[in-house]
Amino acid sequence: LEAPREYTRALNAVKLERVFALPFIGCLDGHRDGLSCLGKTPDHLSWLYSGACDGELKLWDVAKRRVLCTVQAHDGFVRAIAYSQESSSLYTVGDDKLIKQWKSEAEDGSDLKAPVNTILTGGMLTGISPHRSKPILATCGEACNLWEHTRAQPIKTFQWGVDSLQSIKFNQVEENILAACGSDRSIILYDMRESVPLRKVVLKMRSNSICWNPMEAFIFTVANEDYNLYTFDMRNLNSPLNVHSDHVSAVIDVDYSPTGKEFVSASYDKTVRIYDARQAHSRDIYHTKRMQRLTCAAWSLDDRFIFSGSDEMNIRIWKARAAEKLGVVKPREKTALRVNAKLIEKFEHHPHIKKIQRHRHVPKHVYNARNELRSGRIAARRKEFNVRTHTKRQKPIISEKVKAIVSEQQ
Amino acid sequence: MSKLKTLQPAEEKQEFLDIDETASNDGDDEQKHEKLLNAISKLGRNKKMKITQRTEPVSKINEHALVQIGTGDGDSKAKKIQVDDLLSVIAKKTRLGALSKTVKQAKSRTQTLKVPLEKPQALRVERAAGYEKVKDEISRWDDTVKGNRNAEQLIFPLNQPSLKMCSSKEFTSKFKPKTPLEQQISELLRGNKNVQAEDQELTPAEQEALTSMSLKEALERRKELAKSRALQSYQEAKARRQNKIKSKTYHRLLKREKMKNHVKEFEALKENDPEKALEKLEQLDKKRIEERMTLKHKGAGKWAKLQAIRSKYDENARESLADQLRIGKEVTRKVKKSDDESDEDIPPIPLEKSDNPWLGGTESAHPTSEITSGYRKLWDTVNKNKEIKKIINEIPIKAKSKPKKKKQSVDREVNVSDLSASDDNESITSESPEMQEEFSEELNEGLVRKSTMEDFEQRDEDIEIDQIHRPKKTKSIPIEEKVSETTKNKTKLVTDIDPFKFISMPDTTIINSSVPVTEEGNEEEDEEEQRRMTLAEAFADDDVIEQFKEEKKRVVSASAPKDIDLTLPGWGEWGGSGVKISKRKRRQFIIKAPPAPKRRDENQGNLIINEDKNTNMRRQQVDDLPFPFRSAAAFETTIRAPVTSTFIPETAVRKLAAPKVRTKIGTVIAPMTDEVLISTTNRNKESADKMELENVKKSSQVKDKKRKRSELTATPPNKRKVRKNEWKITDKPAAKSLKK
Repeated sequence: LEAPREYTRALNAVKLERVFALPFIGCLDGHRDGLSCLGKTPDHLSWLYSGACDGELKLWDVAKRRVLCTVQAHDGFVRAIAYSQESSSLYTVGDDKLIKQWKSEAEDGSDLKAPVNTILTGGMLTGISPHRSKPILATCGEACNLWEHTRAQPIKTFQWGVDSLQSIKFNQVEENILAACGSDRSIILYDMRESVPLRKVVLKMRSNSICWNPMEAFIFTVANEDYNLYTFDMRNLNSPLNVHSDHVSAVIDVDYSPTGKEFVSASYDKTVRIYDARQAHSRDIYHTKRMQRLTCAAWSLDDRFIFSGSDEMNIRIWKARAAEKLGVVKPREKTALRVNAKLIEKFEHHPHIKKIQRHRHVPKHVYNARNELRSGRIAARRKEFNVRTHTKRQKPIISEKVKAIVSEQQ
Repeated sequence: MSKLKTLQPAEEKQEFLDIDETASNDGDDEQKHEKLLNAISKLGRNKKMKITQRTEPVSKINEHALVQIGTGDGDSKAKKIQVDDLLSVIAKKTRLGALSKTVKQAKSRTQTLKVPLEKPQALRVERAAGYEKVKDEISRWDDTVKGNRNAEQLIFPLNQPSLKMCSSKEFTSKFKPKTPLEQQISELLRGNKNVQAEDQELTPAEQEALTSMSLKEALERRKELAKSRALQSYQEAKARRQNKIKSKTYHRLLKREKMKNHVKEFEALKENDPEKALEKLEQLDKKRIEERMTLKHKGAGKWAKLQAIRSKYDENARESLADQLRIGKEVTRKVKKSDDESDEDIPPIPLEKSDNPWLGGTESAHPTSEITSGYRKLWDTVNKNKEIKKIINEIPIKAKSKPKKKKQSVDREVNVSDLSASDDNESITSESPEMQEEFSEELNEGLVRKSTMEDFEQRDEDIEIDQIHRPKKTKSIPIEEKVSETTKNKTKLVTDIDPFKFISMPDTTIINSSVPVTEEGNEEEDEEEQRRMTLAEAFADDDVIEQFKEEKKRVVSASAPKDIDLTLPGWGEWGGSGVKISKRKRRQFIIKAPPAPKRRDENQGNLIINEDKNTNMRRQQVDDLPFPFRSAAAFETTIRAPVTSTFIPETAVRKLAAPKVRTKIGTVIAPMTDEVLISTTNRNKESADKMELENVKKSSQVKDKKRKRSELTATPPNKRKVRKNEWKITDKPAAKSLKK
């Protein structure tokens, strides 16, 4: 007779969880143009760098929700921000084709006033990523360049084809490997030690952003224009490990949680979604009435918060787990919460509990778009079925995962 | 030119001779080789290259303008010196044989290098190679990743320093004496017997003192041992001897004795230890069951067959055979309740094919009649007696009641034994008081088994007597007799097995023997009977059909609406306790249930359709088997296992509810590092190894360091510091908790 009683408890627990699910914490406003990029620093948990479309760079103290420092970093967009723990400095790239290095050590952020080093580059720059333990930077734009910050010329250039790249990331675990997304709808892998790129995989649509799993060296996820995110195993590029759907517009940015278990995605459909890294559908969706198209998202390094930057000049702070209590949790309460979580986990397959747990109110446009997409999918499936049943020579069945892949090139 | 031609070989020879001399002098191959080359070049110098002169100044010398020697005309071609020519000279010298060989090899190997690949192709190859390399390299994380994915709980940051409480025992075990005084003491303690070991209560010296014994004791003990050993050997010898005895009688006796012993033991146990006695009984029973399974006493053996042949002439053989069969029957008999057993030690022999209750074909005109047990029979006869008495008393009414009664009696006639039936008839016809006595006789007699010829003969005599008594029924009686005989037998069988629960099968064996055959007479008959027995026994406990019927009845009755009785005793009536509720009132207060709706499985005998399943309940239940589970049973067990503290202890709850991922508030979780790949034990070992290695290879390490520094020119000085800080962050809370 334990099961029915526990079922009731689980039901109450899941309802309570939804009652307490208030993920929005606050917003940081102060930029005078849309956000373009966010940067975290492992040296200061509460610091957050943000770059705007007018070239302004701000350093925020998230805990106090105030600006520590503001500086006009670039002419035009600040395209990317990256913090290198190795040199304990901040790097930014902008539309003015400059790589700027900023010292950022003072507690009040006062040394962010002027860049310590500026590199003039020949081509357009869209992304930057520092090596984890060596003083090397990788930038992308017209090609993938490797820089050493004392030199004015790139130490290495990788070019494969003529198309430009929009996002580049160093692998944090296997430090010599990096990956970039190209505007020819490709994802390219590089090894810093080699003279040529390693491999390229072309998807049906362009990938906007890429992120490596910080705990699993060979896993990375890309945010794609076709409303999906694709998780790949680096060693097997002809089929993604998982297709994460649910967004109803292009996915702009993706960032892994530091535990490597989940990631957050920012989309053009004005919502932030959180995915379990091994699930196809999102765990949660965050949205507010005034949040416009998202441009960037970041998961805080203590695995508790999510930052999202959007077109309407605000940075929003969310809880990573919507129903989590933020304040002091006493031992008994902690046990109770854990037991509740366990109960929900135990009965999560029961329809009623599942329904409560998974149900989310979404903005009307998302709701409608989702229905529309669904009907489209159903129609396509029906058509495929009809075609299959009425053709003599049948084509092989291609899985949904593989459908997104155009080719793997070596 | 001709002059040159003649001169050349001589010169060559000269040169080579010189070389040989030098070679013999020095023995230095390299020098020889150089000289050889010089000599060859000199040869070339003699015939100068013909260069076509051009008057116009040209920046580049045209390669076509150069003419090689020996290509000019036919004669000069022959003059061209080949390596073979040179080798032929060398070959004479045994020492230079190796040289000639190598030259030959080199010559045979001359192949032009392949054309390099086109650039895109070359790049592709390079990329593929690089990719494969990286793939291999990154696969070293496989185990770590898999381990983390499957881990019960992950605590981030992962690379926390392992802090644990060290017990005093562990701490003291690490202690090493350093000062001379300490060393002296430890040495004293180490070899001493008076030092107590950790786990033991006594010191070795004390134990020795306890275990040691006097000389007298030791001698006594030895004597005892010797005695017991001798006894043992005698016993063994005896056993061996006994094993060799082949006499059957001896073994039979032995067996009997053993049985007796067993029985004795059992008796003894019964009084002392009932539990063990029960066990023993079970064992015996098991033996019996095993016996039932074998063909030992079934008369199928060689010996039994021989005895059967002999039995015609030999009294003894007949006896022994009968004896065996009896044993077999005893053993194979189904054990029943004790009261039935008394009058049926030997199961009756079914005589006709229809008497197997499991083959429900021929018989069962009145299937119900067969259920009547001995008790029922008795009851009936008693009733009849009463009736007869009544009849005797009320003769005038008899005429009226006769037809009705006759009907009854006819019914019963088939049901029960012939005796009662015939008596009934008799009672109707003759109405004599003697009959009562006869009845009582019959009652006393009960059911008599006829197992021998004499019995049957006697029976016939009886019948004859009957016939004499009742001349009207002479014809019908013998047949009736037989039928009743068979039915009687059947009824006896039936006491054990319910004939309703039959499965209709086609009759295959029909033994139509009108003449009753005795048990001893026919071996085949005996086997047949055995077969039937086993069949009956096999399905003895198997009343599935009946069970199903009962279940269905239950379900149907449960689903049917029931009358509601609202009568209250004494309500609206005069009177005290024990007042009977009037029929009218009862009718008034009973709310009649509507007629039961027609069930879908009403006319389908072997089907129960559950009509009242709860759809609302269904909606709350899980439809499909959820993903990680392989079987519904597994899923159900997880659901059934409680996780809250109402049902299980608090500690278990904590363990079960431990979250899969735990993070520390305010702690940066750094990406994974290589350190994770090296387990802690290995790391410790390595560090120890490193210490040793460092002393040996200090110089080489210094070199390495230098190289590294040159590589990482721009390594900032605070890199180390930053890493340390990172550690500090993770260390702090742990240290605090320790202090607490």
